[in-house]
Amino acid sequence: MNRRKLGSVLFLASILVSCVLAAFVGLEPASAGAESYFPNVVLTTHDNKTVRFYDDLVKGKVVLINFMFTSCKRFCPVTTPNLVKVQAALGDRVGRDIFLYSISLDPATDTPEVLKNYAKKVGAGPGWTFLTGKKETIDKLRRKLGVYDRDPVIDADITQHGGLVVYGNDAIGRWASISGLNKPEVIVRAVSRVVEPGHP
Amino acid sequence: MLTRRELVKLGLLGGGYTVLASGSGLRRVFADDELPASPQLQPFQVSLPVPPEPKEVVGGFTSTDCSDFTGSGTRFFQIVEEERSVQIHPALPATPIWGYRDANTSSAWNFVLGPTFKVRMNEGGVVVRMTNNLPAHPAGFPDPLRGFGVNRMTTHLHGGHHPSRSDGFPDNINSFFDDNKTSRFHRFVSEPGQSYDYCYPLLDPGFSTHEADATERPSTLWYHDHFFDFTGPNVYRGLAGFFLVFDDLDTGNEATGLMLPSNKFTSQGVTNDVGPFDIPLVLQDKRVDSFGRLIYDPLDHDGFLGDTFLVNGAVQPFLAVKGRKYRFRFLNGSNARFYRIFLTNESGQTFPMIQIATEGGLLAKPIAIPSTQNPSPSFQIAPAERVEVVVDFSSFSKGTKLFFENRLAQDDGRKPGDVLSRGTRLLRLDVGEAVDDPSQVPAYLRPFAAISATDLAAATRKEFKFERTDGAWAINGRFADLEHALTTSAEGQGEIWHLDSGGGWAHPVHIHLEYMRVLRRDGKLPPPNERDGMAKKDTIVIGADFGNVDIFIKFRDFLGPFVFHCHNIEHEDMRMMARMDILPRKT
Repeated sequence: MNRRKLGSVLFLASILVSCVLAAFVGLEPASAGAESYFPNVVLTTHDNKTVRFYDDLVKGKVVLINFMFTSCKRFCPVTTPNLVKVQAALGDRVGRDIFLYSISLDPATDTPEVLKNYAKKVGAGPGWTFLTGKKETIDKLRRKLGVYDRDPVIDADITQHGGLVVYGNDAIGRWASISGLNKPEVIVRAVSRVVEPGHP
Repeated sequence: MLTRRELVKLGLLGGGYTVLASGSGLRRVFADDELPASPQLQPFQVSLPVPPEPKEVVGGFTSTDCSDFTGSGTRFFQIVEEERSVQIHPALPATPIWGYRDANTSSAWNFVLGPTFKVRMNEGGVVVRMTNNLPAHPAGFPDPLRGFGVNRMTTHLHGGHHPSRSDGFPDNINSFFDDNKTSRFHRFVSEPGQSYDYCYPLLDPGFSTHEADATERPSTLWYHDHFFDFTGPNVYRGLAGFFLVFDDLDTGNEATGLMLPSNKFTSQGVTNDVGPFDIPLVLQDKRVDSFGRLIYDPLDHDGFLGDTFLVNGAVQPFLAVKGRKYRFRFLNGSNARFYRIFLTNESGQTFPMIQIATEGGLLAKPIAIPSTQNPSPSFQIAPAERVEVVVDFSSFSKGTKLFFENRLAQDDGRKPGDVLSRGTRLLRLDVGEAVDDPSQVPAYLRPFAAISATDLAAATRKEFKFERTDGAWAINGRFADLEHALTTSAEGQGEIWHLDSGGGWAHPVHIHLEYMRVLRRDGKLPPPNERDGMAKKDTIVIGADFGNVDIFIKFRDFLGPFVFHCHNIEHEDMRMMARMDILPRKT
């Protein structure tokens, strides 16, 4: 057995011991955490890269997430320019520790190429990724992020879901949402509450 | 085929008592989107906790912030906001909560709730120094479901009449009411390690213009955190406590004033503690895991519902009572759940109660439950509302077990559902021996005149529509923006507000600073328990099946920024809130 294999065996053994101990002594398990809260679904970026939602987009980061589609007339004309200003206000932190994600509700139309052109057109900078994927995957993710309506008719209407911005800081597990129709400075201030806890 | 709920409604399902308590893990309508259900917990395992009063700081302390309101008679208190672990049920490990504690006592504080303040009107007021000792991150972080809560504190004394700086304004602002153009920083929030003095003058509204109205006195207030966007998780985590107000009518003594059921009795000049016969009860619903940790969904904006029911921070406790009258002060301290409370026995039979007070203190007259106008032997209580009832146990034989039972179904944060034939028994009342009962419920409590036709005619009119807007929550199409007032009011100018809501959602609307006089509900005379001339309200339900209301309100004494908002706290956190500025009276 080489050193690496031995390491794996010891690691597995230690997990086993911990589980057994936890089962018998009733030790509190470490929190299941964000991995189990957010679906780790597969999405495709506007650069045609395949990513996992939690592992690649959220883990350890401060994120702002909204749902949109490129032909959207209802909210996107307000929320997208707002997010452009939010991105500008957050400065060079975007792309470093803060990331923006816009996920298409119309993946059949919004191919990576279409999204790439859209990103360019609206002036989205580095650190802001547009995403597409399977319709059912995106719907599942949308609901999990609290972007839904209890009325199934309204819920099925993609024009209804472009208003919210979900924001959070995975490192501290602090999550909230705000309407993207708010003024950009209002959104920035809200997001700052999860970026630098303890300071306004 | 009948659903389980319909079966329960028809009384066809056995073991109906556990139905509401067990709940389902369903959080949203979508089957792939569930939170784990709480473990099944045996009810009635612990006695009802009632936190004691905080200890006054002898000699007081200097409070520069409150110097305008302090004088002889002012009482001083020190409270900390902290994380602590409290056992909410014997089968669970202790639950890490955030709560208030009396900093002036060394005794252990094994309560979820903060201390129960008991104050008197017009005797110099109180100053409460709140110190934020919360940790950088809540227990359970970084799990989004368990590590919720933000350690930046601003405390609202709900229902009180006090200065803007002491109202728990939700966030610091850079503007002010008299000059929105000048950027000026105003601190309302205490960061970890900081203290903030809250000044509660406890003077009758109108005092500053020699029009003090002695009928505008509250009886059951509560204090809770109000931090912007995160009030839901912070209050759910435990930051709440009672603040009870007494005066020469509602004295807290069975030998004086109205002689309501109380915890003191004076005989031949000697005052003794009796009972307690006057008991505050806060109803809350939570979700816990098998390790006792609270679970909260930060991305549920409909209104978070729990599946485990607590009274005063303990899961379905019991209370030993004597065969006599008791006063119970109900507060709905839940984020989004409505309740309909019945007094029942083991076979589900119901018994009468007498309502004596609501948010605005004692009613003009007691209201029988049931009555011709309200044939159901029950009362409804929406988030943040208070309903005080007197129950007379003297007709029950020793050994009888009674219950305060919630029979109102609610499956999501939208609105309450049907009234079921069986519900969840929230508190068991174990009737003991009959004892002498000097207490009374007089025919009149605190009579007051309804707003006069002249005042109504002179009132300014405003309309506020509470709506779901694009997945978030708005008032008149606007989301809370604390730097800008949605509306301004001149001090002393009466106003009639039309509060309305579109769609099928219920909104318990709370206005800070002054009580509402409810003039009409859906254009008709409101029921007695909210009607002007009988009751004064600080929280009023609109929307869904409840309709709209017209209320009269007049802001007095304190200028500056305040807020009004929906008290479904998830709606509030999604910005169904507005800043209102009280400006100097027009000359």
